[in-house]
Amino acid sequence: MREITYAEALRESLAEEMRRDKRVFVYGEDVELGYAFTVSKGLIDEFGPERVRDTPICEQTIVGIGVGAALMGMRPVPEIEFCDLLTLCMDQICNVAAKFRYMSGGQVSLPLVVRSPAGKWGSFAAQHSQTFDAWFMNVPGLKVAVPATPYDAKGLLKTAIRDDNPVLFVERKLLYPIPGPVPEEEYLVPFGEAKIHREGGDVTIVAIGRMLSLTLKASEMLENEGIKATVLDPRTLVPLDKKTIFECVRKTHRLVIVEEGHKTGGVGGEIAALVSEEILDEMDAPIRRVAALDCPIPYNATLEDYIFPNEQNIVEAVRYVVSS
Amino acid sequence: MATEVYIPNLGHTMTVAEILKFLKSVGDSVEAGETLLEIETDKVNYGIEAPVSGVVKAILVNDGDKVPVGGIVAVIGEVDEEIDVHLYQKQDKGQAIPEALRDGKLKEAVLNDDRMGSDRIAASPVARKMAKEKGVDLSLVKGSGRSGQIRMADVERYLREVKPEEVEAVPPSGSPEIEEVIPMTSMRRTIARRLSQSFHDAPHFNLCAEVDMTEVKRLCDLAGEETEAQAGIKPSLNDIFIKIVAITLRDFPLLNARLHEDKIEVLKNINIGLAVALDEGLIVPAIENADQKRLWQIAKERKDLVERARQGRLSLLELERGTFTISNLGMFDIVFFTSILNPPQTGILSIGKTVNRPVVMDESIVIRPIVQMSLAVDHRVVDGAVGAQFLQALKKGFEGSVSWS
Repeated sequence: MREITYAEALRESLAEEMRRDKRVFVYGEDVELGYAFTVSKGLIDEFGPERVRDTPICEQTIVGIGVGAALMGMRPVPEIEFCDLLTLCMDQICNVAAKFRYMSGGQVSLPLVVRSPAGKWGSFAAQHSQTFDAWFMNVPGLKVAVPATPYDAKGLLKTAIRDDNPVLFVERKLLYPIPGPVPEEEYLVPFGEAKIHREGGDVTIVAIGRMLSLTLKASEMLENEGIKATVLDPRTLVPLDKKTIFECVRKTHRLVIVEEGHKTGGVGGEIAALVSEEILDEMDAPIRRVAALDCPIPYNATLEDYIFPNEQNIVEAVRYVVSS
Repeated sequence: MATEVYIPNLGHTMTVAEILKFLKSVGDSVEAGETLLEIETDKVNYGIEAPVSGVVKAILVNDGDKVPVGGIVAVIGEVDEEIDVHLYQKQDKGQAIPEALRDGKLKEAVLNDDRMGSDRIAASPVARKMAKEKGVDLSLVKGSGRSGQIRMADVERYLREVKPEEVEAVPPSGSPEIEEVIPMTSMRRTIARRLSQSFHDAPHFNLCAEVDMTEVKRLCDLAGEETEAQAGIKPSLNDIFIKIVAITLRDFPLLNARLHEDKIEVLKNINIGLAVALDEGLIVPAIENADQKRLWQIAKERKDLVERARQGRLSLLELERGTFTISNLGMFDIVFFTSILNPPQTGILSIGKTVNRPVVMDESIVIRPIVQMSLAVDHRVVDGAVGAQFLQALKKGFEGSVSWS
């Protein structure tokens, strides 16, 4: 199968959906030239400035325009250039987009996809390196997708664009240049279906976003020690595929969750709580979370590396639960 | 970080150690490796060293206490560290509660901490589930996890290595076939051990009396209104029994005592235990200072204890603090029975069913509610005459010649 990068897969996904449905359009800061991470690069050549538009640097407006357009029957796909800046449009996302369909008694649909990159890039410092996936899990009315591979990036984005509900589509900066197999023929990746990347009987590792590739590397290191890991990626956090997570945990009786966001109040805590609530008596060891330390992301590269999870952290967490 | 100091296991026959002397007091600083206290086992005297340097934050036992292997005796922490000593209480059920735990210094709330459950075996949830499904007694399984926690693999190993022999033991032909093997639960084993010990060690004798229940029933009715207003329930005959037994015990200190080696310890508190039958076995939660409580308080506490007993939510303290026990099998239509002493107590009162009987009063035959009671006592502590006087005093109390206080 051919290989294309995560950014190219997203671009293909946007282009195919724009060809398929004239109501789909993209806009945001620097999207005409494809900044900051090249996803929208070249789209303007095919679809023109009507459907590929730059906006002022005003995130609240960007999402607000999307809400209005979606209510009027369009299928907007705005981009917020860094997910840290989602803080500026929380009201539009959480109070307006996520609630409109519910509060109108289902009279309207709101097919809005807000794309935004999260996580580490490398010395982008405390205001441009964060990962806010967990916050949006706490907003009923919103779906949250976090693709970890080019294949899932393309397939999930198509599903998001065709969904009649608002979707927060959280990408990962460091994944944009990473290639992976993507079929040329059309496919969709459904929401709420986790993907098992590797099976092993000793521990289940739930890895989110960029953490998937680190986890797969860590699993190989662990395999050399005789520890066999099941690695799964939930792919969407809302809806969350509890069923598959539980099935894996029932086989391995141990669980580690790896995420790029901060540990406290994170996705890992939510998954650990679900397991504790529903299948605690399957557990043979304490659950461990591997996540960014609870500290602003440093500019200094050495410190930054220390704050974000790495393969070694994952290996150590797994060793801990396996030896508990 | 707080570090617990344990009684180490100095040999496989060792189950308990006596605290000879603490060489440090709370607040003293210690160096790692410095001798903290001296203990005596049935074989040796031994100095326990501080595992870390720091300050002695808590000493949980007194000199002379007997502490089981693994029992925590002290906590060492850093100078400014705040330590909740309550979390470090983890004494083995069936062993004497250390002085530090008595006199309400550490309240039940503390003991309710799940970690405290003396019989609680550290096992992962899935190991627990598997043990339950396969009928494995976890106390027989050796744990390989952190701090000896039992993991699923340990239960599986046990099933592979140990269980098959048990199951495959073939009885000689002609003997009754085994339908089912029920492993003893930890509770069952504790009951077995304690009562065997009591039955063998304490020479029991039993005294029996018939009691006219007219007055008790009248008191029950009389106190009904207040009890219902205060406690929200009607008083039961058991509440009256508890109250009158408690008051009567004030005059019979030897019946509210226990034998400790060659000393008789007379107890200040009069805590009346009430035997409660559960599916899993018999337990005896006790009402503290029952002689000082009003009937409605006793009724309220009795109801709460029995309810929590059925939910398995009693604390160790509630189960161990009894100084005298009452057992009532009237609800099973038993008119007379005797009981085995609940160690280390010296007396237990067994109460049968109240039955209307023809009795002779003032030269005529009348029908009166009569109950038969038997008192079992430990002859090492109490002689026949004292026991008889106590039972006589109880009878008087029940029949209405003791005033309420």
